[in-house]
Amino acid sequence: MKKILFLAFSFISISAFAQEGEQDYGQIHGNFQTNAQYYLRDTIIDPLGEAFPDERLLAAGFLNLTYTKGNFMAGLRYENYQNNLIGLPEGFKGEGIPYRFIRYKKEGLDVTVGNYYEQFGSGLIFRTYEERGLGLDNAMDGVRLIYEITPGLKAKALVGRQRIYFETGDGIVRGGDLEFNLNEFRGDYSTTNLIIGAGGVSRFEQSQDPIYNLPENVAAASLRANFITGDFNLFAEYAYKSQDPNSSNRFIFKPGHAIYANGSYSHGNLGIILGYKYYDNFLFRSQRVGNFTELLINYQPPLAELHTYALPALYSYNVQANGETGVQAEIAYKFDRGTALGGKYGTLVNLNFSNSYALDKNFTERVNSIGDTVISGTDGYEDWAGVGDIQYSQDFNVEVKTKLNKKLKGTFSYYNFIYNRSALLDGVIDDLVSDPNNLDIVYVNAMVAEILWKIKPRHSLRTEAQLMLTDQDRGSWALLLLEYSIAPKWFFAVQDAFNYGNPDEDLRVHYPLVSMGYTRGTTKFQLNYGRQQEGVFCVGGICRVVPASNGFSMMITANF
Amino acid sequence: MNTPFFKTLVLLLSLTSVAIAQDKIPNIQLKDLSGNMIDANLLENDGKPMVISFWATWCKPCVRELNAINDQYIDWQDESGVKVVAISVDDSRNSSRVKPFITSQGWEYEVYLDENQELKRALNVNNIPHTFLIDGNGEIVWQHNGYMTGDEDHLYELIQKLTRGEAISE
Repeated sequence: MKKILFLAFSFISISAFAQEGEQDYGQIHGNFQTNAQYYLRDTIIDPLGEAFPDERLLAAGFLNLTYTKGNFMAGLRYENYQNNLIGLPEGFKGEGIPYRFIRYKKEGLDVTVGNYYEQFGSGLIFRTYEERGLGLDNAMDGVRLIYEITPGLKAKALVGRQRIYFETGDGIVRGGDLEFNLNEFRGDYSTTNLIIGAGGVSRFEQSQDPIYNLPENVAAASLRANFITGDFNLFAEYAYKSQDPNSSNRFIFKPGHAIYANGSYSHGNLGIILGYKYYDNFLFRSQRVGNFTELLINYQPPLAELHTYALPALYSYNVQANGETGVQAEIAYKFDRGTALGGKYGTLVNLNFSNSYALDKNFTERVNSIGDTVISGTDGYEDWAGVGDIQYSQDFNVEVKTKLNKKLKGTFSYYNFIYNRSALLDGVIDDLVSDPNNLDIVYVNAMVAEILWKIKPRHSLRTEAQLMLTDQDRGSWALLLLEYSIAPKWFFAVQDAFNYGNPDEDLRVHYPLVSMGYTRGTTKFQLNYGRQQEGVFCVGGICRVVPASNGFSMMITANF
Repeated sequence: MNTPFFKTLVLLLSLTSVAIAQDKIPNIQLKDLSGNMIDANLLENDGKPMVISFWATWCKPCVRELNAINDQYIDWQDESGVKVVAISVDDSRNSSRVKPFITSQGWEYEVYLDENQELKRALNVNNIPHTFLIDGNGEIVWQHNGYMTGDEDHLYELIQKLTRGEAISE
């Protein structure tokens, strides 16, 4: 494959040279990033040295190159890990070109050969994407065709295998999707529209299991509809997955179901969103055995707000692979300036509520060889389980954003969380999660005040004061951040997080961090020094635990 | 080391040196908030400058940047005719929030969804916020990653340069 691509690239280059005299040689662009961290041994936050690497210095980086000329596009990504930073998957080791593609578009046909990222509908049955911060990259390696049959009717077909570190997984993934867009069909781009889609994905993986007759082909299909009219937007998708015994569902032979629906209303200063999710046995990988973010074929939207302030983000929600259901409601309203609540400049208020519950699984019983009735390990539980008693999470938060005067802007927020640590962090699943011994619930109240002070043109100071109160887990925290920036080039920041309420007195420590950044054109340098608390880093409902660390880190990013 | 890779790299890089700078938005489909599809290469502002900003509802610096621009947007439009296009890279978790979000923020930008980040990747955007400045001929003349308070003033200086017909050399 590499040879073919090399030839293709050379061909492009040569043909481009050959056309000298003409104007358009196409464009080459890219980006580059490298992260390096030098670790210092810190016996307070990491007494056993578990998160202290032998290498002392770890570095990882990548370079993307994209060539475009008219409807032709080709690209590659070189990655290197010497070795991967602590907390990121160790499978990324060494260097290579795990991503390269050629894409061509002509007369409604769009062909991609090599690696590609794709999504059907909301991703319930298929989504390949890259989330570098999580170490997630499940890019397909194969062929994708997108064809516009007639304006408003688009078909996609794909086949390939997925990336796992520097290899591809064993399972072959095949999929197709058809989408009808009423406005495109009628050639009338109004604000009322109906989009209907249907897709199917199947995975083939050989089975040589001596005991179980594992299905080699597993299929998933979904139907979705999106109706938009003026201020309203309604979306719903239902998906079904055939029997898929795998390491995450403990090899049960039970189909999966998923529903994801949301509706929103936006008018004037008001925005309202309601959402519903029901995911039962819907984790889908291209291999029966896989960990964490490896070889995921689909994506289950978490339907919970993503928090980015450091302390509230410690209790972020991640989707439970073995099933969950929940709702979300959000209201945003802007009080106009000059009103009682709006003040002189107007005030924006945002209320958000979401929750998630385990499913009420009714485990199937069977009579075993000696005549006893036992829970069947292979049948799983009855379909369409209702809402269970065990709560995974609840999140209620309010954010108020206002301008205090010409130079000051403030954002004030309050958070109330119920967080099932056993399930969300320790990974306790299924029947075990309802065991009272496993019920480790954290109740959190947190507040954040952020003030932005425009001192003079280009100079500004941003302050974050955060307080998070809890009697469980690691106890209460306080955090103060000061960030001084001189646009468009410099910033300097100091931060201290203090875990003053830790039940273990030895761990009531400060986590100071200083950083500075310099931007020149499209190149950015950042340096940090200090101690970082153990935390959870989440994007899109998938989280990874970041161990506590101490040391220097550096990041360089560039675009060209 | 991987020699084909380096050969390719050398070839590609040598090609850049002969390539005539002509940086356009690639032909990738975006979705507007009514579900209509639009080819990104057709985004234009009638011969006047255009700003394209990649953002997401959960990205605080992005929202700060777009709010800061919004505070001055009327003046910017009056003086330079600039148009701001805000492209959300929110995934299906949050894409339904985009419309209520911008409505309550009171933004008057053209907003599109880049749900699986295809345009973001094609333009080699690494992290958001990431802002592009496009001149009247549809060419990318400047880009910037990240946002600090005050960056919008610098951006506006560049927009004014374009309006005066001056070249941007940074």
